[in-house]
Amino acid sequence: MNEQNFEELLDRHGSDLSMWPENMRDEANELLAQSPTALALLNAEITVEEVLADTMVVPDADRLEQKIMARFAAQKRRFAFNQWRAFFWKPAFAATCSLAFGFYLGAANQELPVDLAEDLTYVTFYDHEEWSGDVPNEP
Amino acid sequence: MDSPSLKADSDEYLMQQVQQRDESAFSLLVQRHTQSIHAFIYRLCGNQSDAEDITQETFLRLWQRAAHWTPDTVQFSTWLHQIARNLCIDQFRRERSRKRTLIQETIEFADSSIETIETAAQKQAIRAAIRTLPERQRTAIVLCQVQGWTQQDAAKVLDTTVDGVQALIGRARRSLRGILVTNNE
Repeated sequence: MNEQNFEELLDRHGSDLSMWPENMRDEANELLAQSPTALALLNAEITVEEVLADTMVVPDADRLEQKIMARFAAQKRRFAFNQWRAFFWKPAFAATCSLAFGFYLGAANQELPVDLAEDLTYVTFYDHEEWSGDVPNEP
Repeated sequence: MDSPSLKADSDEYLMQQVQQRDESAFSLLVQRHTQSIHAFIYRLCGNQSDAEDITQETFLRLWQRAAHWTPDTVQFSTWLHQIARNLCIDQFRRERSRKRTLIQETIEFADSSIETIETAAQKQAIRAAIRTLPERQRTAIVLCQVQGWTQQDAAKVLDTTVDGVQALIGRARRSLRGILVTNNE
């Protein structure tokens, strides 16, 4: 075994030589006795594993479950509002368009053609006359 | 419809309830998995504030995407970790510039400690280096080395094979060792 093989096995199996394949352990121990480089690699791996075990301790998350449920409730309210908006925007838009079209027509026809204005006046007068005639006399 | 083979208190059963918009089942899943998901995310991103934020987002995604989960394809826990990992990746992308700064700090720290190497300094250099590992290597290391997952389960989260996970762990170990060995030379 050379240092390169040793490092590949270290990558695969870690620093605990008892976890290495049985036929490799003796060769690894022999290399460690002779090679300072192999020993340095093993020590580095031990330190890395210690750091992974020690320093990846997770700090307590204060009331995280409650925060999740609070955000969930807020999201639900937002979702409900969006649904309501999605349901109502089409009828509201149609009503607004109709209203705007009505205003447009009203504004465009403010000045009626003279003939039409005369006809309307006549009709109104005629209706008034006819209607007045039907009113029963007061006792 | 509920599957008769699922236990009433299993994650998979609760998840089926969530698919039917059962909020109490959702609440139970939150209580059950918040700590482990938070730990996983914290170990990936190394920042408590981000970890809390991403944990909250993970569970909101769980509710939104419940319909996409099918018990036959992937275990609930694996699926939840996949969501968390994807959100971490989004976060890494957003903070890429910050990460570049961190790498620079790590290199400077490693260089400065060549002459007087002490264990504490070495550990600090490794700690910083863990945060600069490529995301897939870091996820593999966190799942298998720190959280004690099997390589098979980690492979599902990482969407790779067991050999792929072994290779990722090997490369990560080698990178981290490299800092110490370089310093000792």
